[in-house]
Amino acid sequence: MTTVVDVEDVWFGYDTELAVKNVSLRIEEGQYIGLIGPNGSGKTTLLKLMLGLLQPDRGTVQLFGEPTAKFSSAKRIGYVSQRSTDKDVAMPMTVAEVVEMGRYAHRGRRRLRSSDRRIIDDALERVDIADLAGHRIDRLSGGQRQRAFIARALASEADLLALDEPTVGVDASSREAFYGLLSELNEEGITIVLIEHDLDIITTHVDTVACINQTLHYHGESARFLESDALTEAYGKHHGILHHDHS
Amino acid sequence: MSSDKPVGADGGTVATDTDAGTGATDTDGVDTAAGRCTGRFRGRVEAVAGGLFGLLTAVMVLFLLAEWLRGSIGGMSILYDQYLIVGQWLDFWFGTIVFSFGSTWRALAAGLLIGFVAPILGTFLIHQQMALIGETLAHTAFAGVAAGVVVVAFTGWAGSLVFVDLGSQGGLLFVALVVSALGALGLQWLSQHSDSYGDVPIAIVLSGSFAMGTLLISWSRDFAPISIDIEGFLFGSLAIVTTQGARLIALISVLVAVIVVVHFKQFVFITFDEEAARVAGLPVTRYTTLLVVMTAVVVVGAMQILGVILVAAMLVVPAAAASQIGVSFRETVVLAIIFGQISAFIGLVFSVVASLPPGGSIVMIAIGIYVLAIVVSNRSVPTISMH
Repeated sequence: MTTVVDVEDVWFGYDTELAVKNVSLRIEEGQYIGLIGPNGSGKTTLLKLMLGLLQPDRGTVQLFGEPTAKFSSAKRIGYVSQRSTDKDVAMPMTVAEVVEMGRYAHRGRRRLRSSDRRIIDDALERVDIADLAGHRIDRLSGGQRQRAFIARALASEADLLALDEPTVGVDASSREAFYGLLSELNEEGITIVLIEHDLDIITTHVDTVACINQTLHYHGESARFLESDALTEAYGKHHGILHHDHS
Repeated sequence: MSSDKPVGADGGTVATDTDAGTGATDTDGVDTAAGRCTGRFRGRVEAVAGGLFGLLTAVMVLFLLAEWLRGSIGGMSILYDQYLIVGQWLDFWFGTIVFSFGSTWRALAAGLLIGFVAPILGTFLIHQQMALIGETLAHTAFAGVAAGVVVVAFTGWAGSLVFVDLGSQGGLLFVALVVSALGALGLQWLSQHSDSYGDVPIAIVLSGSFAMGTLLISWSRDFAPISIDIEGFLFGSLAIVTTQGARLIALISVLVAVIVVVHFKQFVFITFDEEAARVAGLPVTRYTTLLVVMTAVVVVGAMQILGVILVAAMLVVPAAAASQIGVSFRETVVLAIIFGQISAFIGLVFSVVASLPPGGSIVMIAIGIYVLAIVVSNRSVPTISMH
């Protein structure tokens, strides 16, 4: 099995604040890993380090075997950032145009071909929003919008899907459908890294959990995660784990 | 495109448009029967308006070409004269005197080109919270013009550059262009070192460059052999658009159009989702720098007609109006161009006929279109404060 992401002894700080401290972890091909931790724990920073959006102060990060600074197969990654999902600036963009972007890394400056169009249509079908193709993306519901971004990642034929809290502001049933889709994609072989702070989701859907609060407090099977002390260590003694209110 | 068409609730076919040129939806992007009708109607209106203004622009560019080549190609000289004859005819019909002059045609051509190129850049700018960049670059350009005055005063440079004679006005514009481009690069540097195009650094650069400009101009008055039309540069003036100025605008328009067409997908991706674009391997900083430098250049070209104070409006207002009612991004760019050209053309004609400053006329019409766009799109009170 190939190692998709290899994080080794990584340290990273913003100015004077240390966000990620001595973290090492490996993500193998086909894994479905959830990154969990309290606010400000460095989850997003770690994800950005993994994708090459940030370079570590110390340590190395390798993507598909290449150091992220020199990574050349960007089209293998699909990324749904937190900001993709709650962009409050209403930019006129149809769903089709958003999904199209998944092909840009493949086509460069050349025009999209009919083979690209077919891939785009297939991606739209796969996430079940083909009938919304001509609609403005900012007029869609949260759940539909998320699926459009997944379609974009699918259109780019990504081997690795990285999502940062993708279901903020999405209603419960859409969330279920969304995570069902992710599980299907994972079964088809796509490696998934997911930042999510809803523990239910984490323990029900992902197979590996990485609990982080600056350092890695736990990295292993999600089934054993709740039994470990990692939660208390990471979140602190008085943290209640029952309900996260996303209001 | 998928070949099987889904069937709608009323038994008719639902048009799916994956080539999002004209969405078959209403302005809320909702697929309804009314939406389909409006979608097709809109598509037709846009096609007609686009074609009309495209033709008009082509006619005007041909004029500039004729003016440029009439010395060397006989046919061009005859063509040029035809334009003036049409101008005389227009004057006869409207009781004006201005259309018989080449300078009026030149200004109209320049206006249409500005109405074409500024909204293109503006559509990308306003969706990256960079609407103020144009304003800042305009003020920098003003400082550039002032610097040009000082340069000319000190060196007696009359605007000849290697093989090209820019003329004294052209020389000023050239210096303004250089200063503006440098200002653009400076702004880029600033944004990278302060995490965003923050209000405060921009406000400082904006007022600083304008202050520098006013100081330089007042100081140069003591010894400058040329007197520049400050009011003209501030508010725009048709008289300022010299042959070189118009040619500069034409050249800029062609260059910017080519660059945007070639890199369209990249610019769209970066504007919509910068982080995802970065992950996908796009050189985001380089593209943003290119965008800002192109804006600087367009601003210098456009400020001849619109003036330093209002030139940024040409970047922002038509694009904002188009974003209100556009469904797809491609449609929005086309609409922005149409709105920009309508504002420029009607505004210029009005200012020529009424002898009022072109900048104010053009901008008022552009804003009028923006207000109309809001009214037209106002079905469920969308956020008006959005960019």
